[in-house]
Amino acid sequence: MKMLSSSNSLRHAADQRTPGKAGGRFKDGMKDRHRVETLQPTSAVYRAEPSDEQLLAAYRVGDVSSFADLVDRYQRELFHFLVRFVGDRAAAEDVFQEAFLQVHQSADQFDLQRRFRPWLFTIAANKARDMIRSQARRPTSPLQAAINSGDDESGEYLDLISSASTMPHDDLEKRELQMSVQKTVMSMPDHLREILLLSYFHQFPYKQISEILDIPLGTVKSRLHAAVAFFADRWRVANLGRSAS
Amino acid sequence: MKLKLTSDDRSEIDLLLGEAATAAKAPSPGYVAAAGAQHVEAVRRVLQLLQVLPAADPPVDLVDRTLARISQTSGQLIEAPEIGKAADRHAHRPA
Repeated sequence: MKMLSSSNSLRHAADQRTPGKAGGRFKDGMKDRHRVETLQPTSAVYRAEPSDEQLLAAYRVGDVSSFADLVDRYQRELFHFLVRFVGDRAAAEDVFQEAFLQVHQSADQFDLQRRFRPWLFTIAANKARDMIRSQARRPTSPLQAAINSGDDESGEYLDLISSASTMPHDDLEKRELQMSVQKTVMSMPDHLREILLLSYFHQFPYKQISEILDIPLGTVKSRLHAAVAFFADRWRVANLGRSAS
Repeated sequence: MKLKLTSDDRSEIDLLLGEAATAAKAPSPGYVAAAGAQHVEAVRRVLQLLQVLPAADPPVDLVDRTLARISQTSGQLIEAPEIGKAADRHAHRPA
């Protein structure tokens, strides 16, 4: 495991990032990057944004600024995933830091032939699940307990059209709609909310979701179907309650 | 009553969330007609609701605090992140 070589190296690396660039282009350290096999020595490549894998490879050979670039590059997307998943800003921040600490500690074990992004989300999702379990933040309600795991597709038959067509979202103010959707999403079982976020918001292909969650491809599909059905059903029920009141 | 998807609903979800995301498995031109326009619309309306799900932006010093935590855990002394400095850097970030 590579250790940080100076007391303020990471801090210095963060300061070297170019403001306004989500990925942070390099200002220095090009000599180190020349030694990274995955970076081809052409001028066109030097001008392009380095890939995640190139950044991690550079970090492994001693360029700490590359690690700062990775954290900077993923701060918005990963934080959005975490805050939506755990439903708590402070907890999301903590899990975010834990995830990148794990990346730092496991950087040398990462297979550079694989993609960094699914690996990062695998780590983050595991950390988030651990946090949810340890804090017992959302105990299973009697209603949730009646819901199947989502890994099979049993249940009473109901046409999705009816629930979708009666949703009154056109009549709601934007803020009210946001809160209602958020409440519905947070009422989902963790494993259904997790897979829906990964697929819908972060657009991971089914195969990568299978790897992130370590479940078979068929389970990805059935669980995602269950997630959409659950969300639609909860939305329908909430809407019926609102109409009656 | 618990809701269960039809096979067309499931196909549409796969089209919108799964197979459509990979260029190698683009849906065939006749797929939508086969699935049925009503199912397409129903699933899309459900998924469109998710678009309004809010997500708080990260704090401006999240990167600095993350790097500081990693440095501390690694056994290296590191200066505490300067909030103002981090805010200045992120102020230039596009929305």
